[in-house]
Amino acid sequence: MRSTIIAILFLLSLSVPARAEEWIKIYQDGEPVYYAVGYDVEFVRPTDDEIDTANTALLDTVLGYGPWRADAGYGATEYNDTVDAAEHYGRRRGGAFAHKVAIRDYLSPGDWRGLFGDSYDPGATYIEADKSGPHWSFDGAGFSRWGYVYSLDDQGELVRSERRRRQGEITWRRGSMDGGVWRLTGIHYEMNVDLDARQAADVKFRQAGASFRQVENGYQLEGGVYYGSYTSDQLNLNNEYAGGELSAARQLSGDAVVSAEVDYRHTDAGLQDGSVERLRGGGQLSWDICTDATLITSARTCLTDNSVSVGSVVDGYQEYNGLLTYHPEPGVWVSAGFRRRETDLSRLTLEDPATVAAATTVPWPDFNVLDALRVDANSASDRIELRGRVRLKRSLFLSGYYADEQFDELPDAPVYGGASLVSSYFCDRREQGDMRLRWDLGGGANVQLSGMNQTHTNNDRDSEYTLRRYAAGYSGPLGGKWRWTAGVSRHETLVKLGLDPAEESASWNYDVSVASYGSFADYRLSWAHQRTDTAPGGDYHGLGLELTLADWPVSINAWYRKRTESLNGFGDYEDSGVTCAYHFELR
Amino acid sequence: MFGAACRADNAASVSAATDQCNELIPLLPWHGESPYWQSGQEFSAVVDSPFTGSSYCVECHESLAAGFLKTAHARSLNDVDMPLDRQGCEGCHGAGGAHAALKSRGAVFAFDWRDPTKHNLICLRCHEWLTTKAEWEHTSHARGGMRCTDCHDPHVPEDHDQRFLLKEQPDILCVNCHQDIGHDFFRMRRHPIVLNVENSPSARAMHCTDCHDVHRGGDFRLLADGSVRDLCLKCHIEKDGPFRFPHLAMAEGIGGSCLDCHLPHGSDNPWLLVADGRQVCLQCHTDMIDHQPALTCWTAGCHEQVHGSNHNVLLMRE
Repeated sequence: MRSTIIAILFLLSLSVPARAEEWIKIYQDGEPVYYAVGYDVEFVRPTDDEIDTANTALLDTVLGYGPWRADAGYGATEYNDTVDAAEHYGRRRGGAFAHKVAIRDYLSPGDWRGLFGDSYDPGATYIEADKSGPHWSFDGAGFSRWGYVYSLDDQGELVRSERRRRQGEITWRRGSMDGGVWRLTGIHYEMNVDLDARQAADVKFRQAGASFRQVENGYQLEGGVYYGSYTSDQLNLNNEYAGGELSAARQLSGDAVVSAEVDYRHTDAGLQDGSVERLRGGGQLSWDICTDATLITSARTCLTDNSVSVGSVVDGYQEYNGLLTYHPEPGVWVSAGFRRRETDLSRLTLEDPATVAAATTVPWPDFNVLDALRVDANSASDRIELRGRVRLKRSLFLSGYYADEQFDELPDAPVYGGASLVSSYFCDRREQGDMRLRWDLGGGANVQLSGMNQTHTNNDRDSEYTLRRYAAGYSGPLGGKWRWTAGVSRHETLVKLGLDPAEESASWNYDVSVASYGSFADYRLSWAHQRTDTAPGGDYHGLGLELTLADWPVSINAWYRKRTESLNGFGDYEDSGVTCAYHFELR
Repeated sequence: MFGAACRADNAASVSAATDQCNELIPLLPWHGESPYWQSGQEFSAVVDSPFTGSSYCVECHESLAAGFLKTAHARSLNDVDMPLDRQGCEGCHGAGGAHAALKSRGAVFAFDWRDPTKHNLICLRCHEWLTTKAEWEHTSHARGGMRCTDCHDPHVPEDHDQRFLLKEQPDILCVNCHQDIGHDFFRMRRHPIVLNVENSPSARAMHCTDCHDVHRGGDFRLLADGSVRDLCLKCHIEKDGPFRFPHLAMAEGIGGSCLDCHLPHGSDNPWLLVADGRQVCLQCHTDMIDHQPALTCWTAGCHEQVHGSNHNVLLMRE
């Protein structure tokens, strides 16, 4: 009896709201700071069970509210060209289609499933699907794309070949925020190309794997294993491979993280009767020297054992990296990095006519015969890298990057059937730099300017390759319900031998995209134009309109595209079309 | 709409606190550097603030709740095994008891900190399986001062994206900031990511995140794999051979690998090449300057198997 009374009094005491003082304590940067309230404040203290019940009831109220919608319609396409080229864009809609499919079902408060995608015809389809519970999920994605590739046959005539690609990928994941995550994955990809296609190659690729990631109490462990196969008729491949990877990291005393990783892969080349084994490993130490600076040092190595390739191959390399980052305030950070890389190679002695004769003998000689005709070679380089980002004003950001890699050793190149070696084909200096300026104008508007320069120099050959890209763009609102983006970019490529440009190409690209969301209709308009300045040239014009009526569930899409390519004419085409779709929305 | 889920016997306490709202707000700091939770403390902005459950939040924040309850985060409400500090609204904003009583922004985590690290730490309480604090802070996104909420909207995400809570459609979200990359997808050739209207009738086949790990890519480009070559070979595995006569330029460890010849986002040239025609090859093979193929080095019927050949040491097909 007495214990029952005590229990009842105890339960009653729990149901009485707690009274705070006339001040409350607030955590400010981790420390409790007192703030006067001026009067008593009652905090309601429901029990855990009451909270769970109310939360579940709350979630029940939204069951059945997921989107269930799609646009279905019919379209017509006009190709004003003998070359029905859709190679780089996939097939265009013609006939019936469904797109912007979005279905989300709430089977129960914790159980979901969804389907999203577009389908224009069996050769232009993309689908994503998922099903998930509180601690697991299943994801699938797939696409099919059919198009054409062009090449010349032995008589120099243009040949058009059909290329069909399909991919399917599934992932099953189980895990929770407090534990680890496990994944099972599978992928199937195949590309079928007509046998008369000369440059494109078919492939059929499958892979299955399992992986995990565990993060707990400053420890981190990740790993996975996989098995797969791929075949190609055109490339004479019938290979199987398997491998695994494991990495571990440990947080040391709050300001340092040490990590290590290793991965191994074995590939069996069935048709070549050989195999390739690759083992890579590395370790890294990340140390927060102080609150403003971090030092990361790492070393990596890669070893390869290849009993298939008899040409020039990389046998292995070692890398040593260092990166110092300085971050004095939220708007500023700079970093400086260094990398030393030493690479071991083997190369075929093609300067020896006997080797050339052996290498071109059909059927091929045994691997060991050609392997004996190879010699070792080396490559070594040092790379420095500087990077920074500064907030110049509250909304103005400047970032820059510069990297310079210089080789102090490179493999000489044999001249096919010649008597002597010549300077390496590989450049002995690689420089890259870029600069970006971003100005946030407020209201989601921003202006960006960027420039990039990449130069590869081969001093022995007195040659230089340069790639330059410049871009300027604006994105932001234009009036109340308009938003537009506009950009212009310049792309230049230059190959120089000595002082003279040997080859050069340059092009301008312009693009404008406008969107407006009005009471009558929403529409998006995009325009793109490319002009190539140098020969062989090419031009591209593209114009598209997407119009969705506000009060009528209909959307209209129209486009016009024209591309000319003076290099080879393979890609010349002109097409236009219009589609009309009805918008279904079931809930 | 959600009122039925809120118990009537508690409504009186909430409305009483609402009456005092105007008087109490100035007493608590709610602009700038508001209270900050630290790992190891109770998950609350106010000491000893009780958890109330999300049904109390809905009373005042119905418009936010309408979107939130359809998101993946809301599913935590149904998980009785989940601790209260990880359920629903209070899973991110901290215990709501003090906030419900005081109606003060400072009594809850209102995500108005200037320091993005504080925002992100709240998310990382549960999402360490995706990226740890150390991994995130080494990404170029973190160095750019980004917050998780720059891309994700936990309350009202983009129309169809209740799972990943994105503010915009994938890919379009990326090019809002990476405009120069966005221009590349207006070029003649690009990887099959659809951004612009004149090509939107084509089915897409990729997302930016197929190649970039935006949460923990260690490389400054946020690559989803350790090397560019490994990344490309995930889809283009046939280019890996192994070939009896490989093209050394493709090897890892000596040059720029795939990027010496290809621009991954978009290009004016076929096959996403860095230059047109034989210019690509002349980068290195300068001794072939006087060798003028009819079209390009590979379409002229000669060096067709540029990635490697099982037939010919000069990378010819036969």
